[in-house]
Amino acid sequence: MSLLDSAVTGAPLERREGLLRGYLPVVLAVLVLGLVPPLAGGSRYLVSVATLLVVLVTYGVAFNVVFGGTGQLLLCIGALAAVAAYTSALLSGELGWPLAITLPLGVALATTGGAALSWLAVRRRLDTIFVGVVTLTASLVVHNLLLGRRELTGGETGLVVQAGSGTALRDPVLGYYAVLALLAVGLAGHRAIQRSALGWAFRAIRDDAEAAALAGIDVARTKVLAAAVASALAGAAGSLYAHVEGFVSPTTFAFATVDVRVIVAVAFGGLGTLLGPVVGGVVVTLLDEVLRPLGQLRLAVYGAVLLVLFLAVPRGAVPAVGWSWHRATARWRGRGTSPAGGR
Amino acid sequence: MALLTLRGLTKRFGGLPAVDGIDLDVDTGEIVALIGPNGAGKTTLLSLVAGIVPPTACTTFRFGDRDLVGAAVHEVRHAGIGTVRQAPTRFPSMSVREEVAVGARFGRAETLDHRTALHRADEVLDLVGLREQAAAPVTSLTLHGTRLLGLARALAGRPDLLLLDEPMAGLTPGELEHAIALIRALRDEHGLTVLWVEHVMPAVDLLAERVVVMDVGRVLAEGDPAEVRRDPAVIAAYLGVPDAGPAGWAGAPGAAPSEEGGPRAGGA
Amino acid sequence: MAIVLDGSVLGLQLAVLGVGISLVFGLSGVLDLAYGAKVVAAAIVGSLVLAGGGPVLLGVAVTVGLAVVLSLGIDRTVLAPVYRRHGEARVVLSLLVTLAVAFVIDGVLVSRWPHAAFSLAVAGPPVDVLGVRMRGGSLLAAGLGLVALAATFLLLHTTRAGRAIRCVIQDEEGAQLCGIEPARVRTVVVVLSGALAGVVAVAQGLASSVAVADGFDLTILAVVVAVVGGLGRVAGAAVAGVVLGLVHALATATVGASATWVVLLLAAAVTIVLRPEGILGLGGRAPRRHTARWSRRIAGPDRTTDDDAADRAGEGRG
Repeated sequence: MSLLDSAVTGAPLERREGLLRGYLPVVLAVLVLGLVPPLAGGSRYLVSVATLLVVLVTYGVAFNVVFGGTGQLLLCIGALAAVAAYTSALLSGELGWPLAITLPLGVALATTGGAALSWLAVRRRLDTIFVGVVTLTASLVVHNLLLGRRELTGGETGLVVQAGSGTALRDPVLGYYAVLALLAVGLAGHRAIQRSALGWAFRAIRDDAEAAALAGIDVARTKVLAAAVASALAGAAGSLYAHVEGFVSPTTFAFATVDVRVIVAVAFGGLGTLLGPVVGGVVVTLLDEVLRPLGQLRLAVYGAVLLVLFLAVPRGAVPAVGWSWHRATARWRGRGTSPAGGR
Repeated sequence: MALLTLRGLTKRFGGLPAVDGIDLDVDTGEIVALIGPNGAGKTTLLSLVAGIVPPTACTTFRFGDRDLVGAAVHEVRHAGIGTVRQAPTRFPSMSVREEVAVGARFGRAETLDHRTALHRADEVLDLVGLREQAAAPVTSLTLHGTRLLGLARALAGRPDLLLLDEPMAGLTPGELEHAIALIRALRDEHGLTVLWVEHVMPAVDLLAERVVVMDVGRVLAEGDPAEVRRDPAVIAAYLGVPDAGPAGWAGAPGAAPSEEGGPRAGGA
Repeated sequence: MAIVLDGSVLGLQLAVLGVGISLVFGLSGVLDLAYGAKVVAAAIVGSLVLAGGGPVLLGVAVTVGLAVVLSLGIDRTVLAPVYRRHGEARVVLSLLVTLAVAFVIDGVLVSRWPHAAFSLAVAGPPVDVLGVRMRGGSLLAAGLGLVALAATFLLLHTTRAGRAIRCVIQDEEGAQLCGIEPARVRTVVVVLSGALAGVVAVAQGLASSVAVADGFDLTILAVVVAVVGGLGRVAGAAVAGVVLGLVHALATATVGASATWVVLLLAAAVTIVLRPEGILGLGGRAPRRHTARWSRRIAGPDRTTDDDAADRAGEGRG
């Protein structure tokens, strides 16, 4: 039916658009974001803000797959990104290994880490909050290790990433398109999952894990798989960003810098929705930028705005818009139907 | 040849045995009713077979030519055992057709594609009589409707054996008739085997070919319904439980207590 | 011995933190991410009273009072819509809303008093305790934590209100059947939790100082302690706090300050994974059931939905 509708989690499973319509939201979102550098008129600042935005959105897609998809509150997106980024930066910097080896290696390490945490949580049947706290502590452990292993990581002063300097990644605009390409892969991957049997399994697990198992779904495998996919995406985004920026520090990947913003963006955009992270990420970044002149009061106003947003659209902006759109079009067609099971 | 073979199946909750060394065989094409007073361990037995509850001990759990000792819930499902719990859990964000299609898609080891799963769902909805409600949200169904949905979800996965937990409890006489006819048709026309926990004794009389009576986690007696009814041990077990005695046997449909529970089933 | 004493001082504060956040969570399924911010807010206002020449006792009273008022105020306003949701939706919304509240509080504090710190200097020479020289402030802080914990336990276990609270935490429906009003119980718990936040502020001020930027760390510590204790289990949180305090002191003495947090956090994570039901184990009820239970918590009898019926039936099965 409508484009927005198909991007909403509550959209019926049974309806599956053709390839073109199915991926149209992804293409449109990437095209719009692709317009930023030409419109920025050569402003390095705007491009760097946009780069950070795209990376945040990519983290958001990862979080959305694992939490919105299977209900695992993985609060270590930033830490996984850090693992991948530091692995690649250090192996390339200290040992001189080529990026073509260290990037995948870092991503593989992050994937293993995320999958292992998920496997542990599944094995021990941990509840949402427990998964959240275990992964949060894992985040803090990584953070403290980065701070503590000063001789390797440079501690809180950070690390200049030598590898990749002089390559196309260091050109601000090309670097932007590199992270955007990764986001495109992430969004298309999420769409592909939604359209596949795995997407059905996600929906069933989110609704009721026990019923899903009785229906024949391998819940444990699906959850670990979701965590692995998310960790890989977060790791790739983190290490790509490190090489584009040429600098990493523990703050780049800290819980408060990454995970908090990711949660806010995804929750605001709409958990489990395809475009939720994009909408939420843009809003969060815009808020940040608009409030910047307020100085220290920024945080308070930011919090107040979020408070209002969360209380006004607790389901998230994308589903809210999708619903209104659906209702409007339904009235227009003279049918009073509501999307079955929209939430 | 037995379709399902269980030997030494035991489950203890904190030392108390809910199921205490059960041996049970179910032949292909049989309709077997599992009855017994509240807290006899019937529901626990079904949960053990379905893989929802891990057994404390089990020497043999064979289904067809498969060994299912220690199998996970989805592995039991893939082997061909469909389970419908007393209060079937649902997928609240889905329509009736979608929920049944999920059962079709994942019910066997090889996953069905989108279109085939939906097609299969429609067939099963016709079979159980939910076709009218196919597009309705699952949360809009009545109790009977929800049970039928659970049954449809299990059937959509093409099971060989159905485990049903008190499918008749709390139904109106009309619904009861429908449920009895439906289960009989599943066996007669689709060759399913049924192992079924029930408190509604008229339904047991009408439908069961073999009755297994459980009490305190053990098999007390088994045989055809008339035979079991005369068994003094069975009468004694039921008399020990108020309101569930032989009077309840002939009582009105749904009159018998429908809850499996008590401290022995524990954990809740 | 020094390790044990140092660890106990920190541990008692962690225990109070954990108990404060755990009480509210056990009752309503709201995990209060603004808890640390409340502690800091109360402490900073207390420090303003002291800086203005107010007597120490007034500063302490203002600190605790403000923590209570903040707690109650937040609970009554922004959390009201949260209590109208159920199950996982409530958990997630409560995390987001309290996180936003924490931003607001932190933001106001940082912009208004960027360098304020709350510290209650205790005059007097160090005191010998079992052969270890301890600062007077640390001892007072430990004593205060102990008194607060003891008071909480007495309240929970000897008074009528306490019995009502424990009833609701264990089984809200049953409590309602016995004529307990969950809304009133919630008020008592929120006030208690606020007062404990005030106690943490004061104790922290005695032992060292509370800085404006400490809110986030305090919240994380509170959450970790509460979860290690078995979310919603008050005694568990108290024990977990003390144990983690001891682990912290032990780690500081053996592996050095920089690795201390890693050791502490790993210890917490391992405990959670090995014993999700909490450090004290199962005391007759299974906290994993919480998710299902939250759906029925607090709200009035007017909201029995289909899902609740399914929940209930789900819990009844053996």
